[in-house]
Amino acid sequence: MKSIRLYLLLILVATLILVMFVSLLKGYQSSIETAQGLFDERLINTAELIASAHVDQTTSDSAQRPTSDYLFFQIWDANGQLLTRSDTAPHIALSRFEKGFYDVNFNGFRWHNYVYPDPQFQRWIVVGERSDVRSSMAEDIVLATIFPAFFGIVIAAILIWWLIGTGLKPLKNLSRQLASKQADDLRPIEMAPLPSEMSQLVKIINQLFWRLDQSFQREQRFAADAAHELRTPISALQIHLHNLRQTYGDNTEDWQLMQAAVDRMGHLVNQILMLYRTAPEQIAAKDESIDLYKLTSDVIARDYQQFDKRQQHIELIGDSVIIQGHMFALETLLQNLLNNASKYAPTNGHIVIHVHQTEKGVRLTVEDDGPGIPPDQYERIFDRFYRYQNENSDLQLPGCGLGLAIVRHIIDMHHADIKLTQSTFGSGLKVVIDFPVAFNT
Amino acid sequence: MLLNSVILVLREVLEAAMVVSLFMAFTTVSQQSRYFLLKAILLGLVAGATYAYFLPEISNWLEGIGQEITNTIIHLGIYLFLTGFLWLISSNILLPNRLVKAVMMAAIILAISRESAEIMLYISGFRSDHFLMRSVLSGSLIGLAIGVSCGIFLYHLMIALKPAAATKFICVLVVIVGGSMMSQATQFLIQADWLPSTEPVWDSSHIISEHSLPGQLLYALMAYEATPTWSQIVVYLTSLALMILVIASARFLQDQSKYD
Repeated sequence: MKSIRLYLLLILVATLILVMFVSLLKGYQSSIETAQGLFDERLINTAELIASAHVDQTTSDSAQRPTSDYLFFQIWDANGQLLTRSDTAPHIALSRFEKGFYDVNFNGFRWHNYVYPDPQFQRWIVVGERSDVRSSMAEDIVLATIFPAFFGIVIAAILIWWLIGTGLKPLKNLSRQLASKQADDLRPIEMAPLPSEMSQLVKIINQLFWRLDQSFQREQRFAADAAHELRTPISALQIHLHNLRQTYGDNTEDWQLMQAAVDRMGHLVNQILMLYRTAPEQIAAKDESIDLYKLTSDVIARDYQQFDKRQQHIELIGDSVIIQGHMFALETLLQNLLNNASKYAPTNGHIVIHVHQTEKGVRLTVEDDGPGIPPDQYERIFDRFYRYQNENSDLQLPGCGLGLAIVRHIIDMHHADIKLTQSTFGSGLKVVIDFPVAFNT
Repeated sequence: MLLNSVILVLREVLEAAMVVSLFMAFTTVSQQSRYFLLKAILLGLVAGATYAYFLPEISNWLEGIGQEITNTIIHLGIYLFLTGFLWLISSNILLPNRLVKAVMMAAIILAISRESAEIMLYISGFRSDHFLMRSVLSGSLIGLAIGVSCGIFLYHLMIALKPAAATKFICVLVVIVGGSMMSQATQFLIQADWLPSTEPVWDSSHIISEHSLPGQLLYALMAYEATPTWSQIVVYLTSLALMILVIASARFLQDQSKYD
């Protein structure tokens, strides 16, 4: 069923047509019978009138009485001698002389005759009427009652269409409300007054939203609490490890592997905490005017050591552009993007950052000359804990797969758009982010 | 005159509505596009108008039996396409969807062209008689509306069923409509004197009159005749048996290919 409205309209109009037209046809049949009865009565009256008006008993066939084309009369004496007739009547008797109605063919038409015995003058009056004219007249009368039904059905169809539309309005409102909801908006739907058929549905949807909201909150709280609780023992672990390396020397591979594992654990815990803090519902700060170019420059300066360590060339191109946003969140976004670029760009590689004004807002692009990722992975790499491993590369890079999930959170929070493409270096990834000039959280 | 027009138009529209609603239900159940059905209906109407326009000449073919023979060929064509449709959907082999659509389109075009030509000819016969034209048009409109409404009900009845049951129901109705097409083809051949006219085998007009609404519905569904002849009965049953045989052999072949 494509549309409830169309389905109801078709079924209701089809029902209306069937019921109305079948009863109309029944009514038509009985009306035609009644009309024929009336016409028969009129024939009887005509015959009686002729009998009372015509008292001349002589044969006067030459003096034919003019009548209309569809009517005739004959007067016969008791011996079957034609006394007089109308100009449309034949010379011969069309039926036997016995009181009653007869259907006969004459002059290319079917006629309905009435034979009337005149008791006063002992003669027979025959009055006839063309059957097709009788039927047409009867039909004319009955059709006048049928025509309004055609218009009635058209008007009823329009009314049904409108009324169904009105009846389905709450459903339309509900679907409009659901469609306009943001992905993270799990507040209950408020609709009043609700028809009884829909109240149960809305109640179930709201319960579902509530349960979803609760489970999201539980999940986030658990992740944040766990990460927070883990930070202290991990810090202690790092100190003890440092002390042990000082005491026993750090030349063995085992020490280095253990150090890397503890660092990775620390990073993971920090990223989980960041993911929680950058979730839209956790950002309480108001947006402020931020110079994105300056902020990028500050983040590069702060993390310059990591680029320098791998002798990577980092270049920032652009002008000072102001956007509305959250300082802490944008800093995290830049940090994650630059970390990723540095991580995947080779030693002596290149990282280029563009910040400039566009027609619709501000564009930030970060590109590197690393191995890049295939286009079919572009959507997946935003998933939490998802890490793309290049099959052709033996490079094992540290990371926990949360960096781009955090970036996505911050992008959504700023109502910005993020797009991944191939870098202009030929290989490598290019991240394009379009920020609107202003937005309301 | 109004009642005669209702009966004649209803009989023709019901037949076409039956074929269209069967295929429409099939496309709905099998989740295919229905746009091609609309195209087939429009093409059928154009073909019907062309057939009606040339009918005076067609009637003079074969020493005056051209119309009967053409109608026989059209009914035979519908029967063959319906049989083809049954074969395709019962064998369930991976055929291009276009082939199934082409078969449905051909059956609809033939059915609508024949029925619409009949209606157009009937109405145009009263062109000069303005007195009767009003009754004829009113009756035709009522017949058309009742016929289309029955088609809508049949369509919704079929799609209300579960897909597997709906497909079975569609197959059964296609078999019955196919038999009706062949029965009508036999009638035309009897009219053309290509088949002998024999005495009626029975007379059931006192139970269901051919001119009543149920009679018309049954005529559209299974070419109901109150006074059928032996040749009609034999052709009707044979064509039903042939269609059932086609379904059975298509399923048998499909099962065989599964085991291979």
